[in-house]
Amino acid sequence: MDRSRAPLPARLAAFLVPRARRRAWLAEWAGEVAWARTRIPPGRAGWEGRLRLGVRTAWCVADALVLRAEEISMEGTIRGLRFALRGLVRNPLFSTLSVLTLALGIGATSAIFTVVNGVLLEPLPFQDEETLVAVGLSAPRLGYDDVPLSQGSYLYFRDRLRTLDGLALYQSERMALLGGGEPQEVAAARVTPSFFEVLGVGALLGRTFTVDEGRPGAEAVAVLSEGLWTERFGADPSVLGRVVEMDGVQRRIVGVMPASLRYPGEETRVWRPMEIDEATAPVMAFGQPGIGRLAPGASVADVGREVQGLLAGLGEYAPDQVPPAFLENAGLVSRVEPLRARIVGDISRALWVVLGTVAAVLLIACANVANLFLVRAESRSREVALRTALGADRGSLSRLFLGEGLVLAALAGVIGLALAHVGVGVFVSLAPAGIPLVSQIAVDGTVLAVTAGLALGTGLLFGMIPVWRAGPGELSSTLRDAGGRGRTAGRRAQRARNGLVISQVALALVLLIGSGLMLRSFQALRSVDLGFRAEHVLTVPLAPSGASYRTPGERLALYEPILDLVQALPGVEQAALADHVPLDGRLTAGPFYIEGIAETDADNPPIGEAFQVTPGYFEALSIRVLRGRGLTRDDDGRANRGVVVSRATAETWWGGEDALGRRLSWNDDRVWYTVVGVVDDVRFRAPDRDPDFAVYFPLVAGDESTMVVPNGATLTVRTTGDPMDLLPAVREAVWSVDPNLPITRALPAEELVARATSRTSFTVLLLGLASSIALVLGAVGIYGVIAYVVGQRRQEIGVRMALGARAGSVRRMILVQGARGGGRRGGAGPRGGVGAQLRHGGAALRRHPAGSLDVRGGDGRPAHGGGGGELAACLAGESGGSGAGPAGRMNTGGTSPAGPPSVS
Amino acid sequence: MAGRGFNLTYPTAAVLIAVRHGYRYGFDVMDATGLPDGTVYPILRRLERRGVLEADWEPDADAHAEGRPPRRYYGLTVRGEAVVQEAADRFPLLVRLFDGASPQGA
Repeated sequence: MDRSRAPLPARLAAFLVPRARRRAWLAEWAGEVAWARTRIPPGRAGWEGRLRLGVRTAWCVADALVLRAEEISMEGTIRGLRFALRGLVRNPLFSTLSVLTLALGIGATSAIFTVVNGVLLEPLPFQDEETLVAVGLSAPRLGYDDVPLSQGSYLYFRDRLRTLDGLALYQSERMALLGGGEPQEVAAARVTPSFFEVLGVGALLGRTFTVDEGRPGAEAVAVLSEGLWTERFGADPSVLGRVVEMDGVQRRIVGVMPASLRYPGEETRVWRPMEIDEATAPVMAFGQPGIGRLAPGASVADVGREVQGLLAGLGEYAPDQVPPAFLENAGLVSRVEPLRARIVGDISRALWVVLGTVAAVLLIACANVANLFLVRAESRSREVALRTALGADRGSLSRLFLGEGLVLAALAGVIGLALAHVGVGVFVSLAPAGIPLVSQIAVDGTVLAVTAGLALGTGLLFGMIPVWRAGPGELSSTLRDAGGRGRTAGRRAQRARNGLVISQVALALVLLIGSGLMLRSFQALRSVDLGFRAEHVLTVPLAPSGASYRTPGERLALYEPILDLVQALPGVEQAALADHVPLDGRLTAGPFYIEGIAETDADNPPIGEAFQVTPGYFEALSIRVLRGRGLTRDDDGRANRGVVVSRATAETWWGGEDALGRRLSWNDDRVWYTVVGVVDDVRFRAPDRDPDFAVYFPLVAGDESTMVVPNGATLTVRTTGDPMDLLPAVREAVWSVDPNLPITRALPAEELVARATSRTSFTVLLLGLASSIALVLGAVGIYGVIAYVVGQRRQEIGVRMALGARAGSVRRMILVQGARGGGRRGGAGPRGGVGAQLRHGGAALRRHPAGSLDVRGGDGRPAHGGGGGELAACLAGESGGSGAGPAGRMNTGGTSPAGPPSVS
Repeated sequence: MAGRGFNLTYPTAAVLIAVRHGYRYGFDVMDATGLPDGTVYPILRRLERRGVLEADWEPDADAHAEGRPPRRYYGLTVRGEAVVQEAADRFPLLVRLFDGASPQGA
């Protein structure tokens, strides 16, 4: 081995070392390594020493890197930055356009990325969140893709599932809170004691529930959220053990949960135990979602398979509750998914689409700035060539221009981050209630890193353009071309610029068309016939607290006087009560039994939505009565049992025969109701969902002994004016009957509709915003490039005007060229531009028939003699329109040996 | 020391004191100080740039005799003498570590 030669790692790393020091550096490492080799004992004994030397030698990379960094930091960076700042200050239009364009792109992308990060990427605030699963079912044959568990099925699965370490059940609810302030209605949840254990969240103060507290007859307890504890109880630790009335029940507070626990809802404030009687837990009352923790080694799919396998045994487990053919007829299958997927739901697709859209906006911004840089690079190619001729190597040139790109991008990044911060604030405040995990949305380290990455990437990209534009091969021709100012772009550069302008306009158009389509479907959604009229309707949910309203009679005694009082209020056209109203998110679907038809298929009854309403409900919501009549007080089931069905129900269940006079019963209780009317279909689940079957029962159903009166009811009031104006009077009326009844969610029905379409409208808003930004950027881009190019062509325009071209014709020329996608400004075609002709020396200018100047092409040099360039520069300078000073004249004159142009 | 232009950290002090004790070549300094391989050369470069150390090549004849290329050695400048004194004051144990030991190759 040649001992004077540097070792391989050093020879490789030498490329990092600045050229001026490379030889000495290599020699130093060669000397050290060669010396060290002489100290290694020969043969096998020396293997350890050789290994050590190898490792030590490899570290020469660190040495080389330090030298490289030193050079950059010492000279390159400072000089480059100073140079960059000077260059940017000298071109305020260019700098401002570039920075603002990039800032918009970076800001929009960072803002939406912040949302995507918070909602889709950030881990849920639970221990080992990836092992949490949502356990449920679906019944595709009944049209229900999401069927929660029931208490009975929970017990069945809990005792059998081996792939889960724990299973819990919850049910969201709202409860009235008394004591410690005004009556307040809060979001709450009934949960099995295993709930907190499955989620892996311990109490901040006190404890969670014991197993016994999940059984009937146990003491009534509750745990509070940290938020409620702070707001209502002043974060007083002595709240533990205090008894507070919740929904009419005195509950002892046993714990406070940390603010990070926002489950099942973002706003859940109180958790209370779900009391399950193991002997009588209903199997068929599917209404409580389940969550589970994967057992070690088990996957989500494993749980799905196990649940599916166990489903077959459900009928055997509770033969008295599960109709034999139900499981098969309903097509009940397991639906197990990661908890995150359950929480995030279908919003993820919309978010990714919006992120893709703003990424396109960033691309447009980049194309924009790239274009500006390209135009600028054209005008600086001479500067680059000169620097090269004076000895600047490509590296130092790169650093100079990179500095410029990085300064611009850094500025844009900072402004973009500020924009993102503001944008995220606006997003969160506008976000509809359905957007999950809103509390997790914040500009954090990941977002900062992404923004910095975006800025760095764009800065590097744009900084390299001038260097790339002026490769070493072009040096001599660039210097020879020296005219600089009179010169216009070469064909290659122009093609690149035109390509960029075209692609950004195309991208902007794609976005516009996309958001236009979205807007159309949104409009279609807004204009869909919901089956009821929401204008001038006020909805006031009433939630009577448990203890005073345990029996149907007690609840009736509350509802009836309230309804009478409200109906008597001035401005009220019609008041009604219903257990739930369209689009309020509550559903009470159940099986129906149809006399004469369904009895033959008792195991597979049709499923429909059951509403309980008072007379006047159809008038209050302007639901059209198509046949027969609406409900009256006589239909309340004490004497007659009347029922009204929707059109789809009548047509499907009775196969087009007249439904009036037919009988049906609800929930297999074989209490028969007679159809007295058919009303129009109402889209009560969602505006974009076809109307399901709906059956309207009287609010008060049955006689005194079997009376059914719902636990909660919504006052539905049609008014003559603004529904919210009526709210104070309604509140008075309600409180005159029961001063402890909380009224916290009164809304105009229009708001219910707006909320039901909020996800779509929100997506439309975001996409529309992104497309508008894209359009503005596209326009700014085209303007910026044309303005800059025109600026570069001042001299040429001066020549044209000095030779008699009118301002109008020059404008027309610029416009036509712009419209052609940049036209053939510098092209070498038969009718090439002035600049190209000047470059070639002799140009034959002549008046175009249309009045504008044109240049008759060809090589005019021998025919016309020299001085064309000089003449042009002088003329332009004297015309005052070009700003070309003596330097310009000298430059042009020095390199244009061709003769004067002849004007024909 | 104000105006020194670099931080007198433990590794820097170790390198300086090693050089004063006669460990003048990069690899010797690595062996003498026990500092990680990747840290010694960057320190030597920095100290050289700051005028604390100066470097030269060992005479060709010496290297030739061993059949190897010459090595580059480092020595303290006048400024370096002052800085090494400061290092010795700040890290007295380091000095004691080197006292009594002598370089192999110097």
